[in-house]
Amino acid sequence: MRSSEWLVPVGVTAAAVVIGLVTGLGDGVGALVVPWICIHALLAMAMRLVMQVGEINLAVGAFYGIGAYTAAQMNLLLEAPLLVSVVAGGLLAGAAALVFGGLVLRVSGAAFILVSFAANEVLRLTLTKTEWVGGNSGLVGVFADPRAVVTAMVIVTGVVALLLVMLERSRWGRQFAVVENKPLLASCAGINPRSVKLIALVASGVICGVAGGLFAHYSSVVAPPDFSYMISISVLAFVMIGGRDHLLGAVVGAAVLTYLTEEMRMFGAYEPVIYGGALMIAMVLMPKGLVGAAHDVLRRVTDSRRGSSSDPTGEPSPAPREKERAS
Amino acid sequence: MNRVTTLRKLTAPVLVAGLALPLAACGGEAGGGAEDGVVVFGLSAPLSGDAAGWGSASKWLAEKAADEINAAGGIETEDGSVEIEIVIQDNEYTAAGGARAAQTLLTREKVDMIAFSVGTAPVQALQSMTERQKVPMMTSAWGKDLKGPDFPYTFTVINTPFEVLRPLAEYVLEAEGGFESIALLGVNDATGIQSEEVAQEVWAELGVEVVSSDFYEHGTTEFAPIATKLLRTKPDAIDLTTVTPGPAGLLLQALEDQGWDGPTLLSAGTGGQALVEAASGAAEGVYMGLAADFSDTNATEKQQELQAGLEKATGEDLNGVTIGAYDGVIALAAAIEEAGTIESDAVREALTEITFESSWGAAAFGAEDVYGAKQQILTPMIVTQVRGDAIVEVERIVPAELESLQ
Amino acid sequence: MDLFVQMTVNGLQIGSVYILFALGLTLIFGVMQVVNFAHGALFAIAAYTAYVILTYGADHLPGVPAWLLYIGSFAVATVLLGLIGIALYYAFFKRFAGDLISTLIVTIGFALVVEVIVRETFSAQPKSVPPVVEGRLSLLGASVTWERVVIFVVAIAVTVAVAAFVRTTMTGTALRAVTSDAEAAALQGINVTRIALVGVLLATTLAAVAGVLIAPATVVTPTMGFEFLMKGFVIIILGGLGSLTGAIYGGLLVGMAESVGTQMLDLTTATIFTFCVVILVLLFRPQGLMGHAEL
Repeated sequence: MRSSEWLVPVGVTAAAVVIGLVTGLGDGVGALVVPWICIHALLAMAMRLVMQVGEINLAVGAFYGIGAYTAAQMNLLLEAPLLVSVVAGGLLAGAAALVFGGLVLRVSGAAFILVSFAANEVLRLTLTKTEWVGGNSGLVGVFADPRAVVTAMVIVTGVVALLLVMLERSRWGRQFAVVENKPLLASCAGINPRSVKLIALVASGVICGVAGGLFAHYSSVVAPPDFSYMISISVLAFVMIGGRDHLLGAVVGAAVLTYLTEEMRMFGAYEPVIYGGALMIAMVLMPKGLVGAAHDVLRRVTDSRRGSSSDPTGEPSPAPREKERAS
Repeated sequence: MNRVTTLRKLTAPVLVAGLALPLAACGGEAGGGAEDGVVVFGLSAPLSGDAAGWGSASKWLAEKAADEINAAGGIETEDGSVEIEIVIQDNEYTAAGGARAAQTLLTREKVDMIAFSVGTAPVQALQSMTERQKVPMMTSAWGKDLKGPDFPYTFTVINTPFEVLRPLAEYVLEAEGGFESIALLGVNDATGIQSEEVAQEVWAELGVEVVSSDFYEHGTTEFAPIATKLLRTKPDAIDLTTVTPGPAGLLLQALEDQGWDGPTLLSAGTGGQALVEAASGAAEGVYMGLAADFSDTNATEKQQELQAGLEKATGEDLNGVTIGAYDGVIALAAAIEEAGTIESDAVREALTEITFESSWGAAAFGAEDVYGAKQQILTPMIVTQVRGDAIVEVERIVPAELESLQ
Repeated sequence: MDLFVQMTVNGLQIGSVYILFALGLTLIFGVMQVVNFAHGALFAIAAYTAYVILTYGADHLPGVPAWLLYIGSFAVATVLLGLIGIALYYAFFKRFAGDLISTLIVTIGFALVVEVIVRETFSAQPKSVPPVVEGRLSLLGASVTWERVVIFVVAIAVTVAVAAFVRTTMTGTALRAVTSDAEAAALQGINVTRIALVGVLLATTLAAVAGVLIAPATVVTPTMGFEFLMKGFVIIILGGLGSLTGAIYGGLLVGMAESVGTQMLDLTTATIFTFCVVILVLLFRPQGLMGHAEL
């Protein structure tokens, strides 16, 4: 891989991190939305990682919750520093994903969607019954310097995004694509689809756990209702509205929807209508999501400038495995 | 194909409107401070999901109180009179929603005080910010761990099971000629669990044996098995503590179907009318501690007026929780007037000293003996009973501490 | 003994409604591979239809008997949901045929919108629907209302009718063919679009019947759809996605599990236990109890 290929992702990420830090540590709207954009973007990237091997994981909320509870307990009981707590949250969530995936990945498709949904509910209900993590009241009083938390959020999100770009361009990334699109071919080529899926699921679990740990330090309260399956549904919406074919789509979807939701807070009761309506309309008008639509527009513009639509070398290819969805 | 084109023509403006509206709306930002003659009161309440009704009622009631005060010339302070502005944020009834609402209220809207907040988990998230930033917070949440010297800026503006349960239990025991055992049921959330602990304590102290104590999940749709289980221990009485009106109505029907006719309490439940509606006849004789009927002549004139206005505007009935939104605004306004400033420590100080005219009549903050600080509103407690379609007041208890102030 | 009978009665009365609800859910999945989050919203709309008609009748039409209004509610709800179903089909299901994720997202969007519209129209207060049949039946020491008996009988009758329809009619046979393999069915000359539409209409009719049927025996709330949806998902995983027979067994099983689990364990633990059983079933029989797409 040529080093010049890294210029774009590294540059974009660095710019995003700088903007995130400046607005997130200021006192405008940015201070309000940047932390949530980071949490949501991490979850959306985690969700997309599993989607890349062809599965929808509705237990994202569970891994997020495991990370949040772990980090909260590290902070409350051991007074561990921010990063140690967050990393511990990520590792434990990853371990949970390993056990879950090991057991459940023998099913796929709709069955996996529903079983992951059930697993999420099992965890949430178990938390309400577990006294040493506060039962239904959850854990209260997690504390860290708010500015340090926001800084950590922005930088961690940038680092995770870069790592995922690297993964996508590596041998593993190509195996993911094969497992999603041609599982049979993968088996013939000596790739075990289940192992590849398990790796994606565990990596996704770690990212969710890290997001949970950051969330716990930011909100200072963690309680079972925060980790219902609804988390997974919103995250899925981030990915789909942003565009599932690009890593950028997950981040853009999370950023746009988080920002709009914040602006819509004043609509109160009507917020779900706008949100639900936007979901339906966006799926119809932009099946490839915001990033996919932008990409198409950009391509059309460059094509018409060149006056030709067949210039194979001029094509930037951020999505080598793009495939036709509508059948 | 034609149909699709038309659809697209229709949906694009909808989408654009959906995206543009909020952006346009964010132009008008609120900002506080007595200098510009406005004091901003924030509300954190659920506007979506199961408990959405509480949020819309709270919003209407707080705005009603603010309108009344503003119409009378605002609040007199040393820097001239200030008008009240109300800002509400949806806390989704969860800790995460509460944290988001808290950040928006305190960071973005820059509210001066919190006039009302609903839900134990979201209030805890809010409290972690208000206490740090020294912002007085009125709340409907309770529990001994929310108040006290460690949380000097937190005030509860409704009666809670700690206040109500003992007088209620004593009254019911006497009215029903005594009974020996009771079965408890509550909803599995923070409020439900804390209430059931209080109930266990109170009944045990009164010599009534608690034969079973159970919880059900929000979202339960079928109550026959729960009724069967409650009756299995053959209790003399049943206390449904915090069960919300809809489920309580279904449960009472199921209990009646399975032959139950003993004394029944909804000791920490709110919303008497909703219960009667949901139970279709099966709520006859149920005692309640926090569910006064505010349309009845036993309610104060002010409360009857609020009930009528609220019902007309939102379709919700006034209940023992949402009434706090009105009283929260009134209490803060009275404290600001007493302090002569909106400076938070002076207001907090004033809150512990004043007697003010709440929707219940004269009220004050007290109960230092229970919570370790004067942070609990003192108002009359009303024991009610369902008779026919009506919620009848059977006993009114005025706290001794409040009487001594008058 | 009393307790045993009462548990069985409880389980059956719960299970019968679950079956009706789950049948519609599994049918849409079978025919179109849609995990239909809108099914709960449709069910809630039907329940509110019954609420509107029955309360209006009780207040303004004193001469009209409740059972007539009840039957009218079935008709109105069936037509209303049918129209919504056709709209959903042409707007989304047809467009996203076979795309699990896109249909999941749009049906979630639809459910969110319906919930708010319902709440803004009727407020969040739980509404109680006037009873249609009064009184209760004592049976071997257990007790059950006639209302519940009627619900049970109608639910079973509708289930049998649906089973007969898919097994004996031409359209039903085509429906089964599409469910087991849409491509092969198309090659056999079956008009898949038309059959899918029949499937959608059958599913909305089931939602209408279930919603109207349960309304007088429960309270209607804007979130009731979501609550049933959770149960519905559990049932169709248990029974096998797309399997009608599976939905029947799954509904009965979950109804009985709720009834017995509530007595043996505490309620939350019972729910956790049910979910765990579902996960285990999937692990050892990924196709569900009745196998995939076995109508």
